[in-house]
Amino acid sequence: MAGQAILGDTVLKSAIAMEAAAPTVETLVADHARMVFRIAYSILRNHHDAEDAAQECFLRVWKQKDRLHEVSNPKTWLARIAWTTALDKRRANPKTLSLDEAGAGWELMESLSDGAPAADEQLAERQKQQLLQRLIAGLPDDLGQTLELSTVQELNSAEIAEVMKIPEGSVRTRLFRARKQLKEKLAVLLEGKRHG
Amino acid sequence: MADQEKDKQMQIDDMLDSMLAHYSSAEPRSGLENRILANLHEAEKGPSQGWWNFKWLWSGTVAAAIIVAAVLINGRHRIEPPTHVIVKTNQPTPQPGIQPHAPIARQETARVHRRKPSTVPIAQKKEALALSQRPTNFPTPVPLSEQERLMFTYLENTPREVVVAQIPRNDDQKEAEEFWADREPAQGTRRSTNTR
Repeated sequence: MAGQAILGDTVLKSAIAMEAAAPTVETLVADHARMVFRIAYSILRNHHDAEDAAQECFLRVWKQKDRLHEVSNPKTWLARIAWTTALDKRRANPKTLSLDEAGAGWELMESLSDGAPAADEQLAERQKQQLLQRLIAGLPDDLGQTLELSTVQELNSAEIAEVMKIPEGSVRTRLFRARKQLKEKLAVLLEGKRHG
Repeated sequence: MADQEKDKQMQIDDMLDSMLAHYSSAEPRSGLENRILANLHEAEKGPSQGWWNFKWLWSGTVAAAIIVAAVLINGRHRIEPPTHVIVKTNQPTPQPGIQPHAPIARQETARVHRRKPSTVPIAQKKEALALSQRPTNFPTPVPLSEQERLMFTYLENTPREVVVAQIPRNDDQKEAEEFWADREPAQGTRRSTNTR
């Protein structure tokens, strides 16, 4: 009789613990909405599209709300959903942003002032971001996507590896190669600015 | 020269780090979490309402299909009879004791009306059978009633003159007879005597 009571207590406690551990959609929204938005923004480069993608991401999560207790790492699970949602959205509405096509890299580099006053800092920053966006768009997909995820503050390389379903070493290698290619392109642009 | 190159590389590195640091630092519009949750609640209501409407649509379609099918089946039964009109002209069999307009005969014809087109050979057989049993004279002879039989017996046993004398005559007929009796005494002797 006492054994049964102890067993019942244990089962009840573990059930309560499971209930407490299993995240709800609401808690996921509260804890990770910002990260989801940033992942989407890193890919879509537009506030409106990023918010749409975040909404769609949580809608996908909501459809699987009955399986939330099976998720071991809600953060990376959610990050992966956000990443795939944003990629789907970008594929559905592709915007080719390469330096070769637009030819705007030079113009952007030219417009970057060396000693910009405070009032122009925001504009200069925006121009830098546009330049970087074009440079990343010119990278191979695997390198570009890894680099985009690495710019999200909330994700470290181990989490990026989990999101992309690749080994962490591959993430580091890809980031190294991506940075190297970007530096080469930037060097060419800077050289052209100096001589132009 | 090497120092210059090193400085240049360091400059590019710093520039790239700075650009990457701000690449995904975008902040969502305030209230993102609330908007996402509102959207989820709306989505939660949406499917059930849609399903409800869909269910009504389906049940309405099924009901309409049943009504149409019933009307078609009923209509077919009504249209069929003209193909078997000949069967309807069947004469009752000349069996004694069965009246020509007996309910049984009507039931028979009615039953023939209800038959489906697939039973055409049977209907043809019945038609042939009815033709073979058709009586030679029309209308079919009917046995005399009790009153008719008494009248017939009386007429057989009573002389013709007596019977004629009993026929009621009006004034015009009487005058005509007297007239003819005067003009043709030889012929009218018997008549006048009889009438008197």
